Amino acid sequence: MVNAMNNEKISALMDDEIDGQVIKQLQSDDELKSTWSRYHLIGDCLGDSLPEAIDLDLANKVRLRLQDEAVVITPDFSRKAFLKPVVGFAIAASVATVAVFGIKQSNQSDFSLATGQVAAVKMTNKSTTAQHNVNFEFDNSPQYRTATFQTDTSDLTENHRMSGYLINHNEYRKNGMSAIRPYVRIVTIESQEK
Amino acid sequence: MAKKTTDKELIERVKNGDKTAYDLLVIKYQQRIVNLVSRFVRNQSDALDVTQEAFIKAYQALPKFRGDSAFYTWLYRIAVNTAKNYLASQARKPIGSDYDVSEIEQIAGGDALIEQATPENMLMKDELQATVLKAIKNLPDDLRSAIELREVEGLSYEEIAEVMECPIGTVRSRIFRAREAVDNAMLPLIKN
Repeated sequence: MVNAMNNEKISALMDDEIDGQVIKQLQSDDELKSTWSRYHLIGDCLGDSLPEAIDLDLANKVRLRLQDEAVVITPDFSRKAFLKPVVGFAIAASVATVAVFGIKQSNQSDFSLATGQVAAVKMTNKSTTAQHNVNFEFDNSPQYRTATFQTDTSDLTENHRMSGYLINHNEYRKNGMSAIRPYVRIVTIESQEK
Repeated sequence: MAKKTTDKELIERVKNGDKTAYDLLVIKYQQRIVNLVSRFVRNQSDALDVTQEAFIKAYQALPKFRGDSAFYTWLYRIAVNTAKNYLASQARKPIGSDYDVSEIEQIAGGDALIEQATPENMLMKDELQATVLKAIKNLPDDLRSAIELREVEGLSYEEIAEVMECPIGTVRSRIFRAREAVDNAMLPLIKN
């Protein structure tokens, strides 16, 4: 009676009409395994897929050969597939964060006049001495830095040219390269009145 | 109806390290694969060796099987490739080296002369087929129709229930009883 019940389950299992719970029982019971084999033989016979000579020991031979084979253990692809976009997103987010903070930091430390503008160039002529007050304004720190040039009046034209050159150079310089280094806040050329 | 096919369930078990589950797959497909390989490799003994080789290769390649196609379709391709590789290796063999008489006859196309090896565990197709068909013929109509609709037409239990106008449980029972009856008729032949 129990055998008949089990055989009915095997019959349904080979037709995919029952869940796999009976498989464990089938694997451990040689009698059920023989039934599984014979029921499939009947199916092959009716489906006309039998070879001319039927080796009833073929599965045993394969089993013996497989004894030397390593056990197959495969990672769960579905979990891996779920992790892939998450890991990708985490990497992208990290790169973006580093990029944003890196650029911000670079802007703060490099007050290379990237956006600095020459606010005013004030020239004072005191008898023989010319004084140039050059003010630079930075958009992230509204400070004024002053460069003072004291030169002989004879050098006034040359200094004026130099000043113009520095201002132009600053405007056309490439990103990241400072025309006037920020830590060289004051450039002074002084000469005593003769 | 089961959500997961039996093949998928068995493959999952094999992939989790359960070798005995593969044994059930081999039992299920062995005759179909031997039949397939025999179309390429005419010598029966060689066909059986090639079939064994195909099952070993399939086992080794199982981690790569994603289940996009049916297991049998995948196994079919492996078996065909194994048979073709076997034939190619035979063609490369220099004449006079390792050939025995049966191989020479096979390559020369003289397989009519080959005596098929029939060891103790070999059963001849014609004999088995005659027994099974006779047993099917002797079945009551409802059992015969149920097993034929399943095994020959490939209908599901639900479809058979619709055709035979009966509950699915009855279909399941009829198919089982038909198999049992045929099995009882076949058993003495197998045991002998």
